[in-house]
Amino acid sequence: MKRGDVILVDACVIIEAHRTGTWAALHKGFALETVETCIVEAQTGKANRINQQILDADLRKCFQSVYAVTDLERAVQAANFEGDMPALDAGELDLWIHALQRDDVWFLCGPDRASMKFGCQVGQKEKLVSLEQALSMLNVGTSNIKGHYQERWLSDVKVKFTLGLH
Amino acid sequence: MYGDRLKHLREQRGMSQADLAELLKFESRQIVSNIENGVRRMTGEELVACTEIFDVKLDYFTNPYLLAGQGAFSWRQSGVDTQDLYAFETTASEWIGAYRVLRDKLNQKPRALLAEVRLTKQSSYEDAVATGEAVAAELELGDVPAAALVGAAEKKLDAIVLMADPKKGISGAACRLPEMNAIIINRQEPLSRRSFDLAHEIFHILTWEAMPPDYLDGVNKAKTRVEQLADKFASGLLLPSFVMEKHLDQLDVQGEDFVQRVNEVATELMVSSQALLWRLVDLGRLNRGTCKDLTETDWFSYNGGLLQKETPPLMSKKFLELLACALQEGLISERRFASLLDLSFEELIDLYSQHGLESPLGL
Repeated sequence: MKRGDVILVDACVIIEAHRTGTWAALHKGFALETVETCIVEAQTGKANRINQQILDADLRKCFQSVYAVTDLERAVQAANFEGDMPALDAGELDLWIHALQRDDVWFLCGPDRASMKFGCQVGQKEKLVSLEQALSMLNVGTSNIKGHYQERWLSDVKVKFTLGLH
Repeated sequence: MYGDRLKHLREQRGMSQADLAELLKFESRQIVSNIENGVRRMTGEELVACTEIFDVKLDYFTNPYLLAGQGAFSWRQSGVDTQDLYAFETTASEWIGAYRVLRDKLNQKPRALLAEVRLTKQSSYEDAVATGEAVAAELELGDVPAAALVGAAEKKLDAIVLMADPKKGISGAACRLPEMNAIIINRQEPLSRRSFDLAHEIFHILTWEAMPPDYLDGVNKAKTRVEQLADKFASGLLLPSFVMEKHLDQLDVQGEDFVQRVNEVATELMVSSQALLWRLVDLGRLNRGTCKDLTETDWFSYNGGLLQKETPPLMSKKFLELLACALQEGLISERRFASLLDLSFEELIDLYSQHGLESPLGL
């Protein structure tokens, strides 16, 4: 991965980058992309959300693209994975549904174990990146990011899921 | 999974395979049959077409946690709007479905033998009380059966007992699935009510095959035979003779402090004073007419004021422990878990703490 590459980010990454004050550096350093459901969750999600006032339009401007995943796209993936779709929330799932249709170079940044496990299962392990790794490339300090956003956590998860320990 | 869901939906709407085949522009109804039997997979386009035909969301087909006709419920409720009840059942079904799916994925096998008691509609009330007492003894519920009941139901009857916040008027429910049992209890009800509801639902779990309960329990004041048997069973389970004997000398009907004693003993046993009084009738210690007169006074309201307002934490320790394992193994995402319970991460962390468990959340 290098500066300017496409990184698909989920709601949690958007929220954590805002919390740690690294969002501006992140979206300027990479071509960030996401899906509509993650934009909505990042701003209004019940689980957590961006903890500061931000205009929807301002947030959207930070992305190279925001994709609206359709029911047909979801259904096609669901048919492919009949009965074994990962138990992700709407945004995390849409992000993967979108990612699996792309044939260009992209990376995916997310802090959730189930989402990363799914990435390993569908052969995309090498495209999974941590927020810490992305910020380090931009020489941005990462001392206050939570454990699930750190490179060590992601490496550990990748090794465990690849070896089938989980 | 999609085939089963399609079949359930089609049958629920009273549609034939031939009719559905025509709507989907299939050459024959055999294709629908093949999909429903798992012989042929559905395409994405067909899934979307089905959501339009049946006016359901795609989630109906893709959400593995939905029971979609696989669970049978019996609700204890009073005056609850049907739509409200259906809405809450949908929510509760997803909790139960999630538990079932994740338990399977974690290879935690359900018990092969299901517990059942030897009661039928022809059983007498005395039989029901005696069976309740016997179950209390077999489950080793101890000196305060109500206190041990949730643990016994979860450990020994292979059920999950979920504390919930349904609309007012819904006391609880029993849910029967082929592989497991679940009981929902309204945690906002007084402790004595919750004890009785749980005992009542345990009766349904233990007699489901012989006496399938009505979907709605509590609609009419005139209780069905099955519900009356359930009440008697609950009385025996919560107040078995071997427990009552330890308190009978305190419960002298002629004593000046009888009312106070009833309220104290009922509170200690986590039941209502009214339930204790009727148990005294069953044991021949109190005249039925006197009991009726006493229960119509306000002397026993909230056990004479002794019943403390106390609300147990949401869901159950067993449920949360399983979900923690599932999170650890990447079987469900943290956001999906939070949305399942409609809680924020902070609320979920607090819930684990209330159950004395370490939070598995990392986000």
